[in-house]
Amino acid sequence: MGVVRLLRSSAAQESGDRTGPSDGRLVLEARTGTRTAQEALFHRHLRRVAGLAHRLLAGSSEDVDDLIQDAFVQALSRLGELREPEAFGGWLSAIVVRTASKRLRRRRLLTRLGLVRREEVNLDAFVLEGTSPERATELRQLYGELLHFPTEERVALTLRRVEGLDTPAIAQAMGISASTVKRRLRKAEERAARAWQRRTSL
Amino acid sequence: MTDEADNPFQGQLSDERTARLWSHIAQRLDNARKPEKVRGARGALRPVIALGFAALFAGAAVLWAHLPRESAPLATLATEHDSLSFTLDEGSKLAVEPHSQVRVLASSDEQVQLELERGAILCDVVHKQNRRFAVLAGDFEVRVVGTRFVVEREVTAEGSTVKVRVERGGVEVRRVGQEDRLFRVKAGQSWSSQERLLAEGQIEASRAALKVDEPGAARSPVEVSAAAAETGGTETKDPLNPLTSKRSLGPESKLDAFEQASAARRSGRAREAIQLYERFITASPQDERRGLAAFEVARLEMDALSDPKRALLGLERAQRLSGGRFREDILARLVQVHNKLGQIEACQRARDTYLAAYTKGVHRVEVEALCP
Repeated sequence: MGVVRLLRSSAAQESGDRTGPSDGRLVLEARTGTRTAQEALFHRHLRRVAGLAHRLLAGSSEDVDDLIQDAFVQALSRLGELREPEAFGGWLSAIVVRTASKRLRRRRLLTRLGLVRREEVNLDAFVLEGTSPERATELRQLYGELLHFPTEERVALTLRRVEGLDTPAIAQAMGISASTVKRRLRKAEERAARAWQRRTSL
Repeated sequence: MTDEADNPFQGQLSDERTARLWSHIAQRLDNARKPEKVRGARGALRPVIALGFAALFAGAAVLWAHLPRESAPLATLATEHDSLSFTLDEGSKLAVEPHSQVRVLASSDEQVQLELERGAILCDVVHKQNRRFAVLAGDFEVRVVGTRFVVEREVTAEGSTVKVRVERGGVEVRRVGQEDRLFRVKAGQSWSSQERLLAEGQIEASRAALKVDEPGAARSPVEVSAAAAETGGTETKDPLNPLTSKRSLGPESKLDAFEQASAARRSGRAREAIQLYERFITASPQDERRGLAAFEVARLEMDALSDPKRALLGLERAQRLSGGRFREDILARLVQVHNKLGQIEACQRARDTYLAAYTKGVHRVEVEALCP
């Protein structure tokens, strides 16, 4: 498997400021409408959400900002539905993934119908400064291929190969069963392998 | 989901973009609430709406009283301008005060468990053997022995305060999730806890201090409150932090004073933070962080000590010392302080200044809503 390989650390670390009250306490307070608690949750999780949105959408910064806003508005206005306040981070990620999936499906449909232009992606935005030229080429190729994958396969593969999530975590984030995740990943890997073979045989 | 250090998005999240994102999110959250206000403002429909709400609350109460008793939360009861009173099947009477929200976590023959999210609830509880009746409020659980009592929870930006006043019988107060009783409040007594939400450090300090039993040792806010409750039932006079008020500040460099003040502020030790900031301001006439220190003092006086008069003086000093930095935050705070003090004209002036200077300001939504 040439192009598709683990690109990032699999350590599922939370980002943002981890000092101060726990997520659980902030969630309990934010449920009462306390704006400072809502804002604290936003700042604490913004970088992680922004990174995830950026890599899932692979679109313009406006698209990414829209997704970030949608995800936080959904999460902060539905905190009452969160059974375990300490699990806010994972719950928020799942909202990001599902909202991104909807957006990608809609964009794909509109593109097919010719109602919007094919998405233009700055593939260089995914390449860290200092990455070796070979690796940078692989990254660009990966994202270039992913744009043509069916949405669900694209999201699943991004979560596995870019975010480094395991199958249960992907299932939770996408709201589907583990067996469905495996099936989608298998198809995505096969699709990526075929794309890789096509390119190397040229 | 990914390691932050490996996140190429990092560099693209400028402060400005972050502020813009939050501003839009806050605006959308506000908009989501607005329809209720708009409907409420239609004068001709007010009586109908009031009746509707009354019916809704009555329905909610009846529904709650007859709901299946196993699952939790069973219901959330929220009041606006009116209180909500009802009687449980077993005879206990509950009155949810205006502007309150209570979640019903359990209601069965074995236990009744309520969670006070904000506001106040009056409980007139019928004594029943083997039935546990408890009200959760923040970190505390008020367990009923058979009594009439009031639990209040005041939520502020810096945290929340739980107060318990017992009119008949007695209650036991515990930390939520802990079986060890902190103390018992009897008829005619009251207890108050300055539970600072954004100050877990203080709570940890309180827990640690509970183990200290040497005579004259520094006591936690909880201990002081408990003692007050046991000896006469008066509310604690200075519950914020007697533990730290006895602490020697020790020799510090100017830099240390500022950083220690910030650390104290972050962990909710407001009075200690103010002391340290003041010391820093006095001892460091050339330090450009004096403005920030003055602003933090004002913010603490307003949010933690609920003293808007002192906060106003503090903000005026912060304006002088800051040299124009974080002017937006100071202006927004000035609007809030004037509003809190009921100084409508001054509030409007400050608000207009803010809105004119910061057309896309991060506090715009909050500021616009004040002193209409």
